[in-house]
Amino acid sequence: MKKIMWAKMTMEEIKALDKDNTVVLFPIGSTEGHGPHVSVECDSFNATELAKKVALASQEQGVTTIVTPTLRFGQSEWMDYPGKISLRTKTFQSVVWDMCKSIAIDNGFKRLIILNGHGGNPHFLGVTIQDFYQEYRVLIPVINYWRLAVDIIDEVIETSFAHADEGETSVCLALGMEIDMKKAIKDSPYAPHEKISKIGGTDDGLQKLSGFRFAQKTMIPFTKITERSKSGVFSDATLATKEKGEKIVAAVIERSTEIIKELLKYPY
Amino acid sequence: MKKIMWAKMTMDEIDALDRDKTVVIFPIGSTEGHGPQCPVECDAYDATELAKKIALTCQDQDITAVVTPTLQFGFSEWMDYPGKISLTSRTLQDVVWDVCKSIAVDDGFKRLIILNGHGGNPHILATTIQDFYWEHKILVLVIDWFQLVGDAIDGIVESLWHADDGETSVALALGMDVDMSKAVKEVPKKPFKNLETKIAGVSSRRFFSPWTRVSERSKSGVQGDATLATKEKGEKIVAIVVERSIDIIKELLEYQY
Repeated sequence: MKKIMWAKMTMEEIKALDKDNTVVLFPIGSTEGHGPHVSVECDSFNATELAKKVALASQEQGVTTIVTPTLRFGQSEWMDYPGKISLRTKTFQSVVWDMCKSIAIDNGFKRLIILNGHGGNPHFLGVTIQDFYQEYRVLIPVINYWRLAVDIIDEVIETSFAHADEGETSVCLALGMEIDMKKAIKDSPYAPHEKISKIGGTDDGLQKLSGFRFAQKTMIPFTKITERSKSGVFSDATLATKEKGEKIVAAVIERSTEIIKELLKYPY
Repeated sequence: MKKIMWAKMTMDEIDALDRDKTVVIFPIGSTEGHGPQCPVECDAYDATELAKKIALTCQDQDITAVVTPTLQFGFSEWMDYPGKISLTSRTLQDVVWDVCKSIAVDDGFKRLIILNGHGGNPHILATTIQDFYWEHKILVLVIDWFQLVGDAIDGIVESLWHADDGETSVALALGMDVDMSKAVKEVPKKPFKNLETKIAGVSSRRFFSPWTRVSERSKSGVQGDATLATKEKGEKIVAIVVERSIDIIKELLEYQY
């Protein structure tokens, strides 16, 4: 088995990779409170473990895919639970930009994919990869893993996939995170602006992601999360199981490897 | 044994820590070429492992120290070897600022130490903690572990630069997967050889000049003789880093806020 972790390779091993036929996965997460049962590294852990699984699955299909070190800090400014380590939006965009430039321009790996594990990051990543494309004509897809499996989530998750709840906790369990399920609880998130965000409903298939802004018709800034949930849990974390998570993970891996194959065909 | 890794704690476990008596260590490294024998994570790996050892030693002395997730990327713009993932100096300053603000201001852990493992970061970190102090009146310290032992390496290793005897020895002592059969010797070209001086054991110039492309100085990525590296030499250096870091932590706990 070939090495899949960029960090563990020497400069000569990286030099030996075929730039045009290697896909580089760049995992991004966050460090922030995830309820009484899940550790603060949740999003970073999930993004990293998913990226590793995707890289291994790609390797089995004969595609060289490697995983960069994880950016363990995301935009979590509004996540005012203990343990948050957050970057402001501009800093976050600068880090992503600099890393993409190092990988795709300086090192020449243009087949680059961001694998994101934090619900606060997608819109900032969307802006960054757009500007990056305009500057360098390099196409960097962003996979927000829960979006990629939204139909499967709709099938297997009873309550929601938002934050430290049934959906997210199930994925953590499937990815081998150490979780004390005895501490898992049920909470009912509430936001003072909830009624605004429900006007017009949410798009088909996205109802269970409705904790996230992009499932809403009207854009509202993220407000202090402690207003919505004191415990850090959205909906019912006690319903989480490894089996439910495994179904979501399987879909993410399968679809990500499809994206990888398509990206390799992109003409530069 | 109590948990020492911030990332592995829940929000409730972090909330339970005594803000005034807990020292938080934030490791910063780089991702860049370190010769044919060391992986590109070398600096980040060393900073992380040193921080863990320091935190565990603190615990033995009844001091609570926790280690945040490592910033695996530093300022390595001039490190034009394959595998570099670098931040510009402005981005690095912003990241360090935001992380320090999250920990020291938002979460209230004012006893904060940056443990740096990359030789390209110190001046950028020093600028940031200075500005941070004026803004928040919080004293964040930076330990550049290689500077901390600058006076003590004579007689242990030949040099402590980049992927050489010193750095490779420390990597071995910290359990890194190093392929010593690939270690080489290369004498780096120094553009201002006759104008360098020694301060606290560390060679330094009498003027500032920017880092220029490192591949002009060393093709292999090694600056010195990596073949001399041994785990035993590294262990001596690590022991000094840990001991002196603990002294710094004890002083920082005395600092009056």
